[in-house]
Amino acid sequence: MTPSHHVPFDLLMERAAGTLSPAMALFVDTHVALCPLCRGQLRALEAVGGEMLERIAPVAMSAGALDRMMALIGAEAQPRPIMAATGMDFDGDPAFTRLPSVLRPVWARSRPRHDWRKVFSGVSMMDLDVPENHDGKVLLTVIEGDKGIPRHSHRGREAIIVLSGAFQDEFGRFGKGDVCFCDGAMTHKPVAEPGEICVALAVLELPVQLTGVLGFVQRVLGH
Amino acid sequence: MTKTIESALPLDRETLADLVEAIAERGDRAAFARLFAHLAPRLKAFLMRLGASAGTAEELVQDVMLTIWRKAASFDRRQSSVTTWTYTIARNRRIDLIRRETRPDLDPEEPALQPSAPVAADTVLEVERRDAALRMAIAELPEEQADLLRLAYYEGKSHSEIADIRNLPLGTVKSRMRLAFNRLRRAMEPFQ
Repeated sequence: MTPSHHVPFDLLMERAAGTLSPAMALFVDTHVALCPLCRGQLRALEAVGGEMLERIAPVAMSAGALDRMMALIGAEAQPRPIMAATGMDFDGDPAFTRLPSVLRPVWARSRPRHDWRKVFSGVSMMDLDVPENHDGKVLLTVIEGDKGIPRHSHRGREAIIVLSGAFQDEFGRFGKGDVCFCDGAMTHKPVAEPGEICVALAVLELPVQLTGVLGFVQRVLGH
Repeated sequence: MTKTIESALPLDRETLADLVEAIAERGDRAAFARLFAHLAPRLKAFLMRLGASAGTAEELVQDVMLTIWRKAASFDRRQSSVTTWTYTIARNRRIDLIRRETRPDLDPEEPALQPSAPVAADTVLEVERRDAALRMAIAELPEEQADLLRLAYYEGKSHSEIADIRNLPLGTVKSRMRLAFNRLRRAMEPFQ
């Protein structure tokens, strides 16, 4: 299934040029992993980068650079075929098996330091460690079928991508690979579709602010 | 012993791909040396444009080339050219190293080194002709668009930084970028 809500082309351009924050780069990489259409677009934009590299006026390496390089690889065995990351201990975590491979190492790196937190009935969240993410948060969220997150607004911008299952809010239906962007002006109340759990990745510039009494609950829970 | 071949002729796309495959298949050191002669001076220039000193740039070049040596098997000539593949490795290493100013080990989650996700058959084909068309289209871009591409790709400026540097509204930067990419995309379209 091809996603129907895509990352904006601007983000693909900035991803290709390498000018996104690591958190947003991870977000775009995740969408691209699940969306053949945007994957093709990003590849084309990266080909622009390749051509820019080919066209640049070369600067000679210093004397002996090649010899130093050859000495460096001389210490290495023959290159090995790459293998997909396997054998990760995922504690039977139901979210793990639903992650695209680009997120699995991030999950594995974060898991020892962060636990799943039950935030609402049927809703759990886990922080992911992403470099340089000082003023934001990257969260994995699991919503059980038919459960949802209470209506909330956003203090900063929030980017969400569905990794598995689907949720609906007043802006539509979001299935695997679909992205949605929220900002301070809007409130929404996402609810997972019945049956399958919904796993999503959220990149938050600032913590989400729940409106109403639940905002208090949220602060107590330290989300 | 290896000889310095800094002044070797530029290598064409097919030759570059053959070299990477020779490294992947049999750890061919002579092939690696030829690849180094072609790529290293370009990578050095590229990294210096991004703000690295000559010394740091050379260290990063060594890093990127070591990655190429180790991960040659993840290169797939049906999906990209060697320069594009190298570009993505250098871009991601540059982000790691210049921004963090540390030297983390080779990142196993480096996206350029993941086994490639399958591409639709029609995007696999004709990559070579697409790149040739792209090269011509870049050369023919109007200066105001080429300027923005250089700032983004060579100097690593975000769209909002470019707006500041060129004293343009952010919307103008985004729309000029879009215009540039629409032109490039049109040029590539017949091959996608």
